[in-house]
Amino acid sequence: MKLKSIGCVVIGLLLLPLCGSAQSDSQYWVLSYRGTATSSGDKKLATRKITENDFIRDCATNSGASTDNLALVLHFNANELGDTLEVVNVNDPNLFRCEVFKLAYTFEGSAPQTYTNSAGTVMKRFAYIYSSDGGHSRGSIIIDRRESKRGRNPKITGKLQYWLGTWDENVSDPNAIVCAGTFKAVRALDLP
Amino acid sequence: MSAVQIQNLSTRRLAGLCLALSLGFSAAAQERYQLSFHGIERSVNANGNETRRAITTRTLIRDWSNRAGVSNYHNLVLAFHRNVDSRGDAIEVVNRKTGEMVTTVFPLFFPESATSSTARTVKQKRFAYVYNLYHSEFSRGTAILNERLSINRQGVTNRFIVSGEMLWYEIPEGAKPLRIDTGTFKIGRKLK
Repeated sequence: MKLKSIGCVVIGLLLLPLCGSAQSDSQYWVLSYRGTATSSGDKKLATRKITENDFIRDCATNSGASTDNLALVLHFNANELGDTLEVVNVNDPNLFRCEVFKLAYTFEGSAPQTYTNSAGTVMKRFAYIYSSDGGHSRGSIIIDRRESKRGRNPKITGKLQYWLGTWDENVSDPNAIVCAGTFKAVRALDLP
Repeated sequence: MSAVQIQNLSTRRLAGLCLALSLGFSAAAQERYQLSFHGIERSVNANGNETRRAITTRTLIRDWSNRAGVSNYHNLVLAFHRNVDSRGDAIEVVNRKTGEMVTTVFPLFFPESATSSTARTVKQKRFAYVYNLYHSEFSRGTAILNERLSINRQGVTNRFIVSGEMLWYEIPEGAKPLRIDTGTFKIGRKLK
């Protein structure tokens, strides 16, 4: 570990891009989110804007915690099914972690719905969205990751469609909330 | 939640899909609207390079008619089939002259909707699961539809408008690798 760090510093003086790429190995990426949530209304649909702050506030409220130091993050390869969207404490996810969605792109008997180009600079992934209330898919997400040629952080973006409400095998929820959104990674979460 | 649970539950939702849609429901009462589609398919070719292909109304008609063994595309159009059965809507290839259904491209099933209504108008934001009849074990994507239904003074529908956005993927088949797709659509005039 020490050798790696030293190597990065020394080489970095000559070749900054290589050190930059070490940062892009992060599994946690802080997200900026823009979306909408639409619910039923008397005379018109009730649509409200959703940002990363709504996820953060909901998680904090449900846990009785403060929103200080919390961020919405994309956690690559968080479990055996794939990635997760989480709200975590940016100083240490072990201090606060709230799973918003499982983003399952690989599971038993199914090939991963992801591809990478041969240069390893492009990754695109389709995943099913699962909330914490069970094993039923609530939607889908496409994640796009493109490495920067100049050694900066990769460009990571995503597009989501999902719904919230009560799951019933045979009946639609009359109070369903239909949601869509996009996100982009603003920075890697550098953890100790 | 295990991976197996996810698969089993998703599979259960789809029981009977193939049968219902492949046995020619063209004889049933029809409410179809001509549809135009624009999208992007992304993949990685044999050289390991990412590829990008436009998906249009024309390419969908050609690709899906070919799969159904039809090579004469004359008079074929894409259609939005409203309430194809109790499970939802479907995007189909149909012959606009004869009304014959050639093949189902995308079943849009198990909708969950937010609704608002007045005496003359019903608006819906509708989430639906996208299926592929050739790989119907579980959904292969999602769609969000914006629907507006206008009703005249006699209580008869006099206008129906839909636009939508889809996220989906196609599993590897033969020489074709995994493809990850996005697209939008809107409907036009009602088909006879």
